[in-house]
Amino acid sequence: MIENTRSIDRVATAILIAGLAFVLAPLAVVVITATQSYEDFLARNFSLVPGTHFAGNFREIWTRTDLPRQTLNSVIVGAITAAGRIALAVTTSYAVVYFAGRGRGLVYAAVVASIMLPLELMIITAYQVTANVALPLDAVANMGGWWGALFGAPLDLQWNLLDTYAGISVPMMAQGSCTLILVQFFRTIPPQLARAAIIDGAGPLRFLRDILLPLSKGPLTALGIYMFISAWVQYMWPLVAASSPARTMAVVGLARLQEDAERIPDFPLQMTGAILVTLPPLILIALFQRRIVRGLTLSEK
Amino acid sequence: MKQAIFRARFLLWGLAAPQLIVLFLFFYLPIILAFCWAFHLEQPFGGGSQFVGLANFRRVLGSSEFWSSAGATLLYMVLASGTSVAAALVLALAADRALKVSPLARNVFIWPKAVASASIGVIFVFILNPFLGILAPLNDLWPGFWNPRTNVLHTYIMLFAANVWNAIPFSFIILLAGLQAIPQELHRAGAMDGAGPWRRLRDIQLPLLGPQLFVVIVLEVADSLSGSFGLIDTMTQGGPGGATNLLVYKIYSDGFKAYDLSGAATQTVILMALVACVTGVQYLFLERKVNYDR
Amino acid sequence: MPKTSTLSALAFMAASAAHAADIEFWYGNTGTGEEAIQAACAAFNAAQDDHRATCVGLGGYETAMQKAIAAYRSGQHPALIQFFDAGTLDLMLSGAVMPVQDFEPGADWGDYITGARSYYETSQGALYSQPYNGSTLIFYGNRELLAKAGIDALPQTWEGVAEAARALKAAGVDCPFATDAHPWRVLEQFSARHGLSIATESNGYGGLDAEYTFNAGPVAQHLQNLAGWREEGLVKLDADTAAGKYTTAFNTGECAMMEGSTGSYGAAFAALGDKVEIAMAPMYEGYERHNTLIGGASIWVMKGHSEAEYDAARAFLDFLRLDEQQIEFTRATGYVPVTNSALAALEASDRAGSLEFATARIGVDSLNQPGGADSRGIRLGFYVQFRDIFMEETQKAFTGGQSMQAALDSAADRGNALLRRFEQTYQGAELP
Repeated sequence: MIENTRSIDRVATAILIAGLAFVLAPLAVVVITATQSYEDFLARNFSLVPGTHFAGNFREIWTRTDLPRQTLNSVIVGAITAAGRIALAVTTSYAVVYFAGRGRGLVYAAVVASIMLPLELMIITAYQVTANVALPLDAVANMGGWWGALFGAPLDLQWNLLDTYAGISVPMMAQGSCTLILVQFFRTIPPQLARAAIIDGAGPLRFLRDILLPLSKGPLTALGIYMFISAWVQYMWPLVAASSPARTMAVVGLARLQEDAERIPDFPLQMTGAILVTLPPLILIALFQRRIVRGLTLSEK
Repeated sequence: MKQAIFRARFLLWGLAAPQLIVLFLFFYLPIILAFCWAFHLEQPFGGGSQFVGLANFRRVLGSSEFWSSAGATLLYMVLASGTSVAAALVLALAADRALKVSPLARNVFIWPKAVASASIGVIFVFILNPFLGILAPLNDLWPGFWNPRTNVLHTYIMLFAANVWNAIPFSFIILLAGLQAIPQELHRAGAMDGAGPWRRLRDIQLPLLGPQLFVVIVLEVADSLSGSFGLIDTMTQGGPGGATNLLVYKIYSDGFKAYDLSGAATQTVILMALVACVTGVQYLFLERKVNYDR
Repeated sequence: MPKTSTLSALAFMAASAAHAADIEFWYGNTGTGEEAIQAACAAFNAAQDDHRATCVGLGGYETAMQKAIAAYRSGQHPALIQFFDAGTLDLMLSGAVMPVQDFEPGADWGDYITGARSYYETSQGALYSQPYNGSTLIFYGNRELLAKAGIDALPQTWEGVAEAARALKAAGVDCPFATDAHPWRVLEQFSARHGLSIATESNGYGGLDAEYTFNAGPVAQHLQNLAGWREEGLVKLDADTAAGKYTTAFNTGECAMMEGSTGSYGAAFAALGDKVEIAMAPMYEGYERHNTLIGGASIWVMKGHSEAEYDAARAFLDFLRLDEQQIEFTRATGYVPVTNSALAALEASDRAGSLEFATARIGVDSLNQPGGADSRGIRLGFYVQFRDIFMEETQKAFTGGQSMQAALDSAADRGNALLRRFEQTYQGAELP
């Protein structure tokens, strides 16, 4: 720093320590409570004295609740969603950046507009569409009744995706932020590369596969991890899109642990569940922190 | 868009098609359907629907509970994004200084990103439980000191606390990156001109942080809205007495619990318009003040 | 001969295979109720080889209905589905269901106790669904806590409840009486047993043009009393209890009395054993006691399935109606038997006096009190939404945001708006 600003540094340090306490204290409470037994908890209420019952709580979560299975669901849905979003974003941004054509501005606008309105806002009708993805086909076929006139009966296709992995993950892919980020990244890659590739006789798809994708490996991984975590922490859509415990995602399953009526809530058990549900993305964040930060800040410049 | 290199028009559409189909099905079609239902009275079991013109809008806009919900939604958007951006800004300014704790703080402040809003709801509702949580002893001393289940102010404090906790990482990362991109020479020049640290904060750091602040505010406002559902569903269920029944939650319960498809769709349309307006206003008033010159 | 017998066995198997079908039954219960339903399902599948029922829990009555609506709109609904009382009118007009008495004309529908039938039949008496997990409102007391205040019998009147609550308070019981002030308790069951209507047209049985009327008269008085008693420290609502829920607060011994569903008895008995004492819900002095309403849920037959599936559905419904099935269900949950024959079989058995069946006697007794046109049930549109509105408005009054009268008036206004919209949504539909 420029001048000797000890007092300011002291204030800044105090602020950071307060911030650390604010972020870490709830996590500490979760971990401590998870080590207490239900009986201890009932006897002492809130207490910051660690117990010795973590293994027991964890065993109960593992054997008596659906959380382990739901954690696996989160892994699956998170992976499908992240892979899907990346794949869709790569092809679209490649098209938008590298192809001439009247449509590309329109494509880009259509994609970017989706950033403004999250899925949560249109949950009612998104649910209806997912309950029958063939809806638009039926609507077009029956417009004016021409299908019925030709084939004797109105078209009535049904394709229900509710309670399937696809039904949970594909609607979460309908969001253009990944494309926005990748378009900006592709634009930083010198166009000479592509020109050189053309001269070498490489077609557009070869260029994508052999040059562009290897070049983008770093940002794509960071983005993929970030999207995996984003899908993992979703709540509202997975809540309505899946009803059976077998398809429910972990965060929803954790919230359902709250609903165990008829007795004082088993908070130690809930907190143990919270650890199970939070640990996988937390480990990812801790491991790939630098990359994710770099990926995120890249997008904002 | 100066890089357009390939001319295969079919390939352009072929490459863009997958995303366009997904977007059409799960983004544009729901919007169209919401508009459609908003102008019809839809029977829940699909037995029939009839066109009613603007009747649904008249009904929704004429009901006081819609306005109190919309008011609560706006208030929540402003206060939740305001508190979380302010907290992140203060932390980022502090972490920008080369302090011993800075590296640790930079790492830890990103952790909440891994915690779902619903999970933090479950956790905070326990920690702040008036009878079993951390403040319970105070309630024993002064009955009624803290009860977010019945006291609206306490409920909102609880929601904002959870929201700030959850929202720190994103704003913090962006703002810190912005601060670190400010060249040291500017600081030095400012110091030589006799500007103290506070003055430099006001005249150099904050103005140059404009683009980042703008992005962070826009995204936090949108995020506070969608993230509110997880918090409300696990912490308040819209209570006490409907005080935290924000539009996102109200639409969910009207549509999914009360089978009022038309009413929910109408409110969806209104909420989408509201969000579009808020975003538009932000662009109009905030972006103008942003200094993009670097 | 062995050859022909093999052949005929094959033929028989083929024949029964032709009728055999897998059906799904969707339900909303969780906890003890869910365990009992799954047990019934397993018993049905074990008892015969022709059909197979898969019972699918959806984690709540409201979720079950939401999933059913989506499933029906996309043609993927189950043959049988359980719906809760408040959804009755929505289903009757949905066009998605068949009246159960037409579906299975051979069954003895007259065997159902009147209180259980009337909620699910038309004003002309046509039964639309098979009553299943029937409950009603009763009064609970914790014998041990009551004894502290020298009370040896549960109060029969609200005046008596207030008096007992004061005595309990004086004896150091911090929470004398707990309720969640849910409209099922403080509005519907309260009005029914006091012989009052909550809406015109006999609570909607007479037509879709009904209007709410509860905001004047005894209901308003009762809610004002509850608010006053809460101020006095005699009554605690969910939010005031450490447990966060009135049933839990009762089961953990925090609260001495509560008004609750018979369906809460299973958990209360498991937690408190013979300390639990139950009685019919209290009346205000000067009113004649009428029947309480059946709560819980019934089973509906949905349209659009094959005859083979409907055979399986009939078999499953028949099975659930069996006396021993109902008795077992009552034992496990506290729900009441819903047919006279099951009740008689229970009374005749040596288990009749057992504490596990305490709710059967008192619950059915309460359901069988003399009834009137206003105590058949509730037949009002968007009623689920109205319940939320009622809760929201009264909660504001309890926490001091508005007066109780203003809360009830605005609940009635908002409710009437819902009724008008319901009427319009089903324009042209005839209330059966």
